[in-house]
Amino acid sequence: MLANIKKLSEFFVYICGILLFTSVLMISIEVILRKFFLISFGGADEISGYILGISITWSLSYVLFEKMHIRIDIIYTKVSFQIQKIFDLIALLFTFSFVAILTYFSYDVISTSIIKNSAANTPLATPLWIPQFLWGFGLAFFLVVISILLFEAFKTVITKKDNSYTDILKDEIQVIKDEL
Amino acid sequence: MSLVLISIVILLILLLISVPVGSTIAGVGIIVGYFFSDYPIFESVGEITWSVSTDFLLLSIPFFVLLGEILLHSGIAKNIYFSLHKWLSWLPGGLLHANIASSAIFSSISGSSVATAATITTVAMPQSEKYGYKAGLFAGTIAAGGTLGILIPPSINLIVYGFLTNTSIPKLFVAGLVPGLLLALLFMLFILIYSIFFKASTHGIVKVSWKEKFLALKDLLPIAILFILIMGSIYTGFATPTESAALGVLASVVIVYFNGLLTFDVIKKSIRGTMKTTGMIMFIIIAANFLNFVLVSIGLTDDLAYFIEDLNISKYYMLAIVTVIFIILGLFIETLSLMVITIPIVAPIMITMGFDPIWFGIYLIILIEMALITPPVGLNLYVVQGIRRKGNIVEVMKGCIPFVIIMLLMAILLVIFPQITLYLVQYV
Repeated sequence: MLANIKKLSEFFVYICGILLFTSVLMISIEVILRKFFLISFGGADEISGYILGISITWSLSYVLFEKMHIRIDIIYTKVSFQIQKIFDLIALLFTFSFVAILTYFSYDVISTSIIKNSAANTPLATPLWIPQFLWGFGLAFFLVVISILLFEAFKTVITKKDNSYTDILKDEIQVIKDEL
Repeated sequence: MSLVLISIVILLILLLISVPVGSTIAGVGIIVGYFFSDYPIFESVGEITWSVSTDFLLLSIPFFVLLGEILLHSGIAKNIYFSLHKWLSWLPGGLLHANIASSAIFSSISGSSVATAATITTVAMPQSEKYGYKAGLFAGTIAAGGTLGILIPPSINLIVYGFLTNTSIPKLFVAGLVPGLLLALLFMLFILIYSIFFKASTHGIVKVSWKEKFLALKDLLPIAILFILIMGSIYTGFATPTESAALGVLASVVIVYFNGLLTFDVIKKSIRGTMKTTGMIMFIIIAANFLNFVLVSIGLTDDLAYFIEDLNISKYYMLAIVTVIFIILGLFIETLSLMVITIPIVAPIMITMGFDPIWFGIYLIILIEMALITPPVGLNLYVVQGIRRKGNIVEVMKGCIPFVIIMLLMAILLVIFPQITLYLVQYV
């Protein structure tokens, strides 16, 4: 199951990439038209802002799988395997609580927008709940991934088995080399 | 004040048990907010997170990262190195100059000192063996050169500083230009003097014909075009920093396409790399924004400012304290996290004490650069060592010592002659 979720989170990242390239194109066209032809459609910056918000939350679980969330390992590398597992568990617990709070209150943001029928204060007058829903969806997905990893980490602590998804000691340099 | 101490203690404990930095920052916010606030403080967290994650200025971060990733994966970055090699190899210290210059150029355009150090090490290390350079100094020049990019615009770290302190990004960019170039020149001056007195390599000077040199210029062209496009569009008022970053991405795709290097694989790798870095940075920024909101709401930021005011110390004394704190923290904390944790608290204090926000930003970035190459937590050291996979990391650390000293010197120069950064700012 974890492997599938990992694949899914990678798929999300490609969507984010496509969105980012779309935003690059929109902004570039907007700037060129504005300067050389004095035409302004407006809205490129607004939509790009939404794209940023969506890209951030949709990429968070991939970042987690790739172990890119920075952790300081001065003590981590010096304690026993079993204590490392407990550190991993605590790390996930804190991440979980923060993301849970974010997800809960993002639901607040979305429902308020729906109830009040809020639209952006711009020429596009985007109904805000649409980008906010997509943004909140990313957070919720991230929360689900953390919950699963938290469960895995919990199992690891009890069973003393290895769990390559939560520990930091994956060779990050190797990752960089692979990328090159 | 006890609240400040409690927050710092929680922060340190969480960091030390290797809770991810973003979650640590948020964790402090949750604990402090839960226990020390009289009213429901978390209610507005949704709104503030939504507004920070859709901030148009911050969109420049993924754009600049994407730009760098495209150049990196397409192989354009490697060519820069060989081109500069041909131009600088006649100097005493030959390749070491190429290391510094190509790291400075590539890291400034890619905005990532880690990607730079990784790329340049991969292409440069084999050359080091071929020409018999001292491994330590050779690795040191790459690690140190890679730090220059966070000072030379466009710089993601400066964008983060500008965002956190509400300072103009174009002003910060232009303020970083002269100190960045000066630092690169000082590095090269040191290598020159060192190589004259001690032989840096066993080989003599490599002869390159003028024809070869001019042919090599075409490899520098892409970077030159991008730099002029980005900086030019910002300073002619043509585009905002984010818009210029978008134009930069578009231009880099076009350049890579006309070099016949645009493949589906390059795009895929660039997207993955970009989203990894963006997600990592933005998670920390969102957490820091949350913590900052909590600290301001419970009045801790004001308390701290009053406390410092009451101490009645001179501004340069304060600067010395801040410098020492940053150097010490920089030994242990990764640089972006260090910036995000400290700037919301330190910068307002320094600005109230009479320091120019632009000047302080540049000063801070130099200290942060130092943190990148000081052990035990100096990211560039590990990247360079990890890729060369030979010898001991202590060699790399020793090779960096002269550059750390030069950076300190530069920081002192900035205090004595603030014009180094501020002179150009008045024209923006």
